[in-house]
Amino acid sequence: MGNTRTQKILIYAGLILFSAILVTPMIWVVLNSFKTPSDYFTKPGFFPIDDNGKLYFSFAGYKGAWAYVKFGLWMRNTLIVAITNTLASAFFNTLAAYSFARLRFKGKETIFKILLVPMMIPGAVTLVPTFLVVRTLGIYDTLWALIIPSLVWVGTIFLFRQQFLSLPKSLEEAARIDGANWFQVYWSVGLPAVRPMLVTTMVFGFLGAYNDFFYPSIVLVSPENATLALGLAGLLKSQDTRNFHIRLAVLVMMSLPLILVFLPFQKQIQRGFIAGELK
Amino acid sequence: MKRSRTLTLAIALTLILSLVAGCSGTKKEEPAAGSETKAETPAPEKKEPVEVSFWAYQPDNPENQKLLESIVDEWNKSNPDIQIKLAAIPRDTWDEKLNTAIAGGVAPDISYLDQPKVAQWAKEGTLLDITQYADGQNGIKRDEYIEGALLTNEVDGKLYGLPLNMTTVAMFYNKDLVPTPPKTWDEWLAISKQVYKKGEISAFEGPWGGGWGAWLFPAFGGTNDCYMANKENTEVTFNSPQCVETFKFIHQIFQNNDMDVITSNEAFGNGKVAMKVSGAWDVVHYKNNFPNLNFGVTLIPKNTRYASNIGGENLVAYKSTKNPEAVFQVMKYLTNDVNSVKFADITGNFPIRVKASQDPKYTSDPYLSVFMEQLKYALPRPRITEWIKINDEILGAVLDDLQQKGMDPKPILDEQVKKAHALMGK
Amino acid sequence: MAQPRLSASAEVPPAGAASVKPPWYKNHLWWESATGYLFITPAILYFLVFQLTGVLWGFYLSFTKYNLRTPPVWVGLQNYIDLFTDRIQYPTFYHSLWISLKWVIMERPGAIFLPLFVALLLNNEIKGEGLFKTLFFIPVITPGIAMAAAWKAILDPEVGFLNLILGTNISWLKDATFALPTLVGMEVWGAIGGGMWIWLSALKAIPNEVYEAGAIDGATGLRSFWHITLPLLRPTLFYMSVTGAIGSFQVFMPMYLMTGGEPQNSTLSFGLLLYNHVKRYDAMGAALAMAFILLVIVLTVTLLQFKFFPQKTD
Repeated sequence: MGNTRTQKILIYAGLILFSAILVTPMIWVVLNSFKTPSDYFTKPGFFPIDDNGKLYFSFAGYKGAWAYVKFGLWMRNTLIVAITNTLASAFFNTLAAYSFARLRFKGKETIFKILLVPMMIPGAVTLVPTFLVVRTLGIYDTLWALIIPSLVWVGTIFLFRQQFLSLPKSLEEAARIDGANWFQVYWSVGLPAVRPMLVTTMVFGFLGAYNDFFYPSIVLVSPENATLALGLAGLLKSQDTRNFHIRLAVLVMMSLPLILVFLPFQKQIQRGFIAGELK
Repeated sequence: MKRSRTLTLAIALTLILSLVAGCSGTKKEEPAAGSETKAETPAPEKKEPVEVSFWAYQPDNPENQKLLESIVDEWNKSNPDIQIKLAAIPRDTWDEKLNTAIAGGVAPDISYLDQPKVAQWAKEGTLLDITQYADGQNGIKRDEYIEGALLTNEVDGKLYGLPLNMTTVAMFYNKDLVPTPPKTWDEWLAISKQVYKKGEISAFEGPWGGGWGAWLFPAFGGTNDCYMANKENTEVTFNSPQCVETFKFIHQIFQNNDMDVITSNEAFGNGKVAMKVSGAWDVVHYKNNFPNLNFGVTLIPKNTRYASNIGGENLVAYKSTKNPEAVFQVMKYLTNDVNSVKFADITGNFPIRVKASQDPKYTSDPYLSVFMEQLKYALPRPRITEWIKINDEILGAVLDDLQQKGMDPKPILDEQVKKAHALMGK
Repeated sequence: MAQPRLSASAEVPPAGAASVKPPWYKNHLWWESATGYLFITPAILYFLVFQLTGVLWGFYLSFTKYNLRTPPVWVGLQNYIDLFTDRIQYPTFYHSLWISLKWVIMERPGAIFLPLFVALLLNNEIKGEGLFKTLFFIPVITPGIAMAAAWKAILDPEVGFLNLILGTNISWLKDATFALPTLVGMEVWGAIGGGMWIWLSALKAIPNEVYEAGAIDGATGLRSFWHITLPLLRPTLFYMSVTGAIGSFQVFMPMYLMTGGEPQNSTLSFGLLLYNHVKRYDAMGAALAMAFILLVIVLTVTLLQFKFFPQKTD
């Protein structure tokens, strides 16, 4: 798909414009995290500028954040939950999705539609029943309470069903003729073909678990079980504004690992895509 | 094949992590289950420590967190037979968490409770009646507590909690724009007109519409003897002539504001707004973050009397607790003179013990002393069950029409009072 | 579980063949069916344990007055009747439905097609593709609270960036005309990062052979897009449309974080009204009745979409 020179210029211009629009607020947050609290309120521009008009960078917020936050414990809990969720749910969801897309069994369409129904109920009201189930299962105030209810998510099943549906059947049929059982077809043909979407979903899943605050705050009590978002909640929503610089620093520090985790996956996708082509 | 190797690795990682999660999980399950597992406590001779679970608002900075923990640690050190287990819960999800815990049978023994909720929760049977403990041998001396604060825990003559802190709102003013703060409505209006500069300076950052505004309004109404409900809390009275007058007055003040100036972030701090009504948390905010702001605090200007809102948290015990006596001793400790000051610091509000409130820390501070004075005139919220809904959806719904747009208050308020009564009648 | 070897012949005996039915353990269709059920077992289990119980229990509670702390009191259909007819208890019921409808209409097209546009830009052998993708992704990983603080500053009527560029001094979040569209703008802005990824992944899954085959037949450029790309994207579009509608009708986060329903209820979505009844008014029964009314609406919209979207199933 060759593009003319003007087309290429327009495309790059468009991409740069969108990048600017999407990145600006984050840049604002990062730059402001270097301001002293009073400058944050009295000089609301982008850059930290002191009373003489000079640019400065105050690390007080970051120092305070490091002292305050039990990063080690919270990060460990958060990572355990996020990583387990991401991998396990990717498996269970894509497996079910493949079945709905490719396997024939009675009542398939109806079952699928029924599974969609609970998605239409707002979370605020499913909270209490979920809590009671968690209580009954005996996993209240444990990390399991965060893991088990996230092992399956119908939205993802739906997404991958659509993905599998849009694949040409030739590769799968060839595998079947070669004697592969359905699991092998799913694992060796289906999954690799949807690798880009798989990586995307896993990244989003990881993010969701990482940033989730509301649900963990209901099912966890002991401080030893707190996740990152939960531990930081008091600071981030407080009325006390003396520590605003710590707050912004904390937000940047929360997001940084995600960007760092995310960058390597860029190459993964491209490599995987090419490999898929060769197969 | 490289691909299947990475996938196998991923699965192995998942399994390992699940095991780790399982270990860290189950280890914590026992203690967190709280008092309902105490049913198996062995025979009386072997004294196992009684555990009192205490849910507090999660403090918003590390110093306060340490202070809260130190209060608990101090007790635990000198009371081996009664141990407090502290849980600091984020304010944001507090209501959902507490409600679901009660529903699921894992309520704490004691917790904070927003003042206006005490009446409802006591009546429905959720709270423990502590009257017998309070008046008993190891009880409290009632006159050591500030009367108004203690009374917010009394329902039908019985005591259901002890006060933890109290708070109110007062008038902040910019000393450069307003050298002499207004004491009366007339002065207030005159200064507003004087100070207003179109597009640059607005007179008064007051309450907007909706629930927040409706919560603030009684502070102004009170200064004109306009009350939200009658003494028996059987009728809603915000359509009285005094209230009509109050709304008209506020509209006049608002004429001296510009929308863009008044809604700008930190308008008061940046010297664009002359006066504003707010609570003690803003004293800290302005002192620390706006070094160039020269501000003062004064009582909300009166027409017929001084008035303001009252708010705060109480400390309550739940009926589901297994150790009411131990629990009461803890409550007594948490609300003694020393700790009442600590809790005031932690929550940014004011102490509820008579001796503590006379502490020079409050009486000689130029800002805090005004708040202590204002507290004397503070009015409690109506103790009507549906009040929050009435506040948000009936009173709050018309505030913009009356205050900003200046529509005629009388017919609108009559209509809203009718609705409120219909709602209460249900 | 040993799988029978497939022979080179077709899986299913041709129609009209002799009625020699293979025993069940050699019947490929039986295995396929069993495998199908097996694969969806975790999902079914999850549904039964976590979702069905919740739905049934919630449904029962919608016929009660319940504040979580005391036992529920049965009131039959009263909650539902009151929601539809009692304008004193629920003055904003219809209004909030209207706000949610406005939201869906304003937000969905932007949230679906703007990311597609960006994905199409990216699907062009761009240098620095990885960099762009990371940049686009940043709003998605930034915690909502950080964004709220940034937006407050950008939307400030006096010194905010937006007003600076436009040369106006509109109070975006406090003006009843602008509040809801502003929230929609923020939401669409946030959706670009995520949506772009889904579209891009779908675009990349289209093998080049398809385009090459099309080019041979003379389809290039815009024609290629219209006749090849779009139809292959249809399943993804369907997904985004259905799940997007489900989510949009329930919307409550933006208004909860930024406006609380104000000014003058212009941002009081149905989801927010429901949430208020749970959190502020202690009216769980009414909230659940609202939830089920919403369920009926969303279910209808979803089923309609299933009907009118041509489904490519086997």
